[in-house]
Order: sequence, then C-alpha cells, then structure tokens
Amino acid sequence: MSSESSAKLLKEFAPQLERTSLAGKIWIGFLTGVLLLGLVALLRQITGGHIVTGMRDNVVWGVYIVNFIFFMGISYAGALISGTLHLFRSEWRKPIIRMAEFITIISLLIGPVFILLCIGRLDRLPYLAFFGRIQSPITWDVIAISTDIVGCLLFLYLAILRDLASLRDYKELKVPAWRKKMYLVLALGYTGEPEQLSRLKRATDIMAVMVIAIAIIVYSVLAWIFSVTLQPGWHSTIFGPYFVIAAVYSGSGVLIMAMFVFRKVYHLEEHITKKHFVNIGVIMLVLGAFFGYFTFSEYLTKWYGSEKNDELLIHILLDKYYYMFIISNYIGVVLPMVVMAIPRFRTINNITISAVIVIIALWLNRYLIVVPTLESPYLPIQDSREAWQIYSATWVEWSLTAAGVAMFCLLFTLASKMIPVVQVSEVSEERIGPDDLDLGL
Amino acid sequence: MQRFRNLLLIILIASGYAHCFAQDKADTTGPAKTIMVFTCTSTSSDSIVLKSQISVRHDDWNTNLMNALVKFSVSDKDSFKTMGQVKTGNDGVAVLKVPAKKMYSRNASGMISFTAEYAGEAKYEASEGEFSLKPGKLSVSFYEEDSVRFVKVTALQFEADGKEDPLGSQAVLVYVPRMLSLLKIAEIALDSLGEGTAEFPKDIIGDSVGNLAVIAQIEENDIYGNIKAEANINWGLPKHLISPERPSRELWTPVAPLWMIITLIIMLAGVWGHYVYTFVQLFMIKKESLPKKAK
Repeated sequence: MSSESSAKLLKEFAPQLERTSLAGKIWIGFLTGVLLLGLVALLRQITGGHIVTGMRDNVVWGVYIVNFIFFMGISYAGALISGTLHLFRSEWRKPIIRMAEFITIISLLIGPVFILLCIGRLDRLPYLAFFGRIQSPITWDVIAISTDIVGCLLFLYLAILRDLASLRDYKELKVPAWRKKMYLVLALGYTGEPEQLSRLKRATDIMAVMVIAIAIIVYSVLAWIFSVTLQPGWHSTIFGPYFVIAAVYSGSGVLIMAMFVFRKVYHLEEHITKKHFVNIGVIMLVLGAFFGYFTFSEYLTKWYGSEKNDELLIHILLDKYYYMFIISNYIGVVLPMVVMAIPRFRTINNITISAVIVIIALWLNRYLIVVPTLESPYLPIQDSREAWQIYSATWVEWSLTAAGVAMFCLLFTLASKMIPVVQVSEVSEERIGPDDLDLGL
Repeated sequence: MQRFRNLLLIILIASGYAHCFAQDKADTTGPAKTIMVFTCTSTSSDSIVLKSQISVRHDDWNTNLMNALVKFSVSDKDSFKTMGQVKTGNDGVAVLKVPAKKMYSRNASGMISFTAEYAGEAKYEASEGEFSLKPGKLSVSFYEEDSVRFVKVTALQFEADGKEDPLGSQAVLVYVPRMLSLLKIAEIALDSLGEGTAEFPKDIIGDSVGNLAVIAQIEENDIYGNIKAEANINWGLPKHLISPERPSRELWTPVAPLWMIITLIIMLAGVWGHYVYTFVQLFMIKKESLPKKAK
C-alpha cells in the first residue's frame, strides 16, 4: 500500500470526516425531525393498535411490507453490484464501490424493522425461534436475512479494513479520541504486509462471491414467500428471478442517486465522473430491459390465460391503480432506457433523474404486487364492510415510511462521516489486473 | 430540455400522489335498505333463542350491520310487550334468550308470536321481522344393542297451561358438526309418543380421542319453528394428523420433508463455512500484527 498516496488522498477527504458544515447540520436536524415524527406515529400505533393503519381482515399487508421488500431489494442490489464490481476488478469501480457497500448494509438494517412494525403481536416473535417450522417460507426468510446480515457486515468490514488502517495511521486527522480509538481497534493491527494483504484479498474475494450468491438466494426466498401462496398475481414460477432483477434495478437507481448527492456535497467531481454515471446507467439500462421483459411475461400469461381471478386482478390494476401501473411498468422501464440509449441524453443530471424515476417506479411496483392481490383473493370476500375490503395507508404508515427513508439517509450521512465514501486505499493503489483473482481454493 | 424535464417530473409526482389512495368516493344517496332475518329456536335448556340478523343491501351484495339496536317483543293479547333490546355484533346478529315455559299470550293455534324491530337511522332504513312458534324441547340419548349403536330422540311440546305433551309425527334431523357446516347422519320420524331412533354410523371421525358432538333439530316447522338439542358421545373415530404406525414427512406435518432438511443444512453449512474461513483470516491478520507491535 502506498502510504504516501493514501495520506495525500486522506488529506483531501479529511474535512468531510473532521467537521460537518452548517448545511450538513441542518440536513441531520431535518432527518432527526422526520425520525421524531415516525416515533410519534409508532407510539400512536403501539397505544392504538393496528387499527390505526389501513390494514384490515382482508388486506393484511400494506405499505410496511412494500417498504420491507423495497429496502431488502436495494440491499441485495448493493451486495450484488459491489460484489460483482469487486470481482471484475474494473478500475472505474473504485470511487463508487464504498457507496454500494454502505447501501447494502444500511438498507439491510432498516428493511426488517418494517416487518416488526407490521407484526401485531411482537411478544410472539420468539415462537419463530422456538417453534419455527422448516417448511415455512417465513422461517427460510428469517434464516436467510440473518445469514445475509452477517455476510454483508463481514464484506463491508473487509472492504473498509485498509481504510481504517490508513485513518489510524493518519496523524493529522482531527477527530475525537473515541474515533481514533475506534479506528485503532477496528484496524486489527493491519500494516499492509504482503501476508496480511494476501489474506485480506483472498477473504474479500471469497466474500464477494458469497454475497452475490447469498443476495440472489435470499431475495429469491423473499419472492417465494409470495409465490408459494395460492393468490392471484403471486403464484408465479418466475417470481424469484423477477424479484432479483427488480431489486438490482432499483438498487442501481439508489446507487446513482447516492453518487450524485455525494459528488455534489463532498465535491468529488475529480473522483466520480460522468463515466461512472454512464457505466452504472448502462447496468440500469440492461436491468431495466430484463425487468420490462419479466413484467411483460408475467402480465401476458395472466391476461392470456383468462382465469377469472387473474382477470379480476388485471381489471383492478388497470382501473383503480391505473396511474401507478403506468408509472411502474411503462415510464419506469422506458424512460431510463431512452435516456441511456441515446448518447445526447446521457448527462449526469438526466441519468440521476432517470434513477429517481426508477426508484419511484419500483416502489410502486412492489405496492402493485402486494395490495391489489389481497383485494382480489380466490376465496371471495364475503360479509365484510366495504371499507375493510380495500386498502388505503394512513398517516401512521406514511410517517413510518418517511422515518425509514430518513433513517437510511441519516445512517448514510453518519457513515460518510466515519469512513470516506471513496475507497482511499484502492484509489491510491496501482491497478490490479484480473489475473490476480485468487480464491485460495 | 431542462423545462421539459422539470415538467415531466412534476406530472409524475402529481399523478403518483393522486393515486396512492384507493378508496372510493363517499356515497351520497339516501338511506340504505336493510334486510332482517329473524328466527326463533327452542333449546333443550327450556329456553327460546331469538336471533335477528341485519344486513345492508348494496347493488349485488350485502354487508352485516354492526351496532344496530334491535327490539325484541312478544305478543300480549292485542299488543306486543317489549322483552329486551340488544345491539348487533360484528356479524350483524342480535340474540336474546327468553324462558320457554313462561306464560306468554298464545293465539288460537297455541303459538306464541315474537317480533324483532330495527328502528333505522339516518343512513339505514328500518326493518322488522315476525316469527310464531309453539315452544318445544328435544333430548338426545344414545344406546348400544347387539353391537349396533343407536341415537334416540325424544320430543315434547309446551302447552299454554304449562303441561308438557309428547310431540309426535314430525321429522328430526340429526347432524354432526364438520369444519364448515353440519353433516347429516340420520333423519328420524317421531312416533305418536314423540320418540324415534336411528342407527348411528360407525365411520364418523371425531376429535383426537373420538369425541363427537351430535345435534338434533326440527327445522323450519310451520308450528314448532326450530327446536334444537345437542349431546356429546365418544363414538367417533380418533383423528390422527400423523399415522402413529407410519409417521410421514409431508409439507403440512410437524416434521419437515427430509430432502428439505438436508438441502438447508448443506446450504447453511456452505455459507457459514465461508464465514468461518473469513473470520480465521481476520484473526490471522490480527495475530500477524502482534510481533511487529511488540518491536
């Protein structure tokens, strides 16, 4: 490791670690305010019960489950993208891979919280551990997410280890003593010796492969929670790959947004260039094409089969949820493709706006998967109040959704204050070619 | 380009917001029509159960009306005397239990008339129902003869003067409750003494130890209305979710399929094995740094 070049780079990133600007403090204050609003909503839900949400006897899943799927999706996307970019050893990945790693772990911590918000009797949660049935997709999901959290934390730690060592060794860093102690402890005494470096690279390469495999399996398990049930719109054989593609598609959008924000806020124009946006945009284009293909395949088979409940579901989608359907399955697919396919439109701003549209479209896509199906089950809804047969999220649910997004942004902001958002050690190193990939097997 | 982009963004956000909520608009027509179904059932505990179910009529479906106040009355010479008021529950049903042997006014046929009234409110129309019956009582017993099992039913009717006379020449249906409805196992014709028997089937499945609930009913009789009795007997076949002789591993049994357990173990062992290897590498990195620190 070239300590001189690392030190030079650290000097450039030191200000973002050492101090927070006024705008940054206002931003953190704003996010804290949204979190407090979420806390009020949470208290309302705890004291009032789930009747304060829009969930009822028939539509038992709503915005909480949508948020859970969404956050888990971008987490797996972060893992897939960071793992894949790591294995390909592309030069251009170095400034952005840290953001992908942060996205992975932060959304993985937030997603399961929405499940806890959705559960009415949290005191029964331990039963899952004591009396869990291996046959249940819920049990698979709990095991999978727990495994994934450990794996992603390990991968992140391996990725930041060298930067932690650089921060430990950088004497000019003006941070509180507890942070210096934290860097010292977490750096594990790493000094960049050839043997240590070899072990670290081997472990990172193995974990990069593992997080890719785990991400695919874990998100497929999440998809199977839906697809193994007999519900119109859910019981589909392609839900596993469909969910994985949709996840990586939305994750690429979040990564582009993160790149745009940090590039602006921390003045990283030298490190994060148009080339990065175009490259991730191309990934987004390819994934968007796959997503569009899977979506078309899903709805074509449902529509053509003319099964009664599938027809009812499609009618509901094109009637009550028309605009959501259009944004999610047309605008969210076509617009990014147009922007990326035509060179004239490939600007940083356009790519970022496309990414925002992708994120919105994919959230709506998850909503259209969860809610309309529950409003049109195989067993007809009988003797139930009209207000209980359709779903409409309440202020409690929207507040907690906003709090989840605020928590994501806040944790990302705080993480960027602890560790540089650009991989200092990698950027300062000489290029490593693909021949050096060593799995140690 | 910039202006077009901004306009597109505004349109997208506005249309998304407008359609995040899926509730229909409020109904602005007059009070909705309500439908009341009123029935009376004589039970074996010498009581009459008055049951009123109110539902609200929509275009082509009904929903139950909760918290509707129903007034139950009984005929008293030329008028009706209020017996009680009950609110409907979540299922739209209001129930009032009254003693069967009380001296109620009867008509020429010896029948008592009950009414149920819902006065209505701003949103819902009023509705009412009337039911006339002669109170009676059924009792169910069981006996076994020459290894053949029988169910016996005895029926009585309560006269105006309080006497209990046999209730004959009526059909009594015998059921056992199943998951979603009642399963008819016998139909008994009562003789002039108000008694009747039928053979009890041997292949009815009960609970895990073979207990069965048996229900005998006279249903929708022109004179006696509904009369119901229930009894328990241990003549059912014990229900086993898993055959004790051959425990199976289907998806729905408490023990998961073997292939699933093995697959899960292999996958988790593979993944966590790699984690352990990584932890070992981190441990070795830490260990290799120590001699250098000592220097």
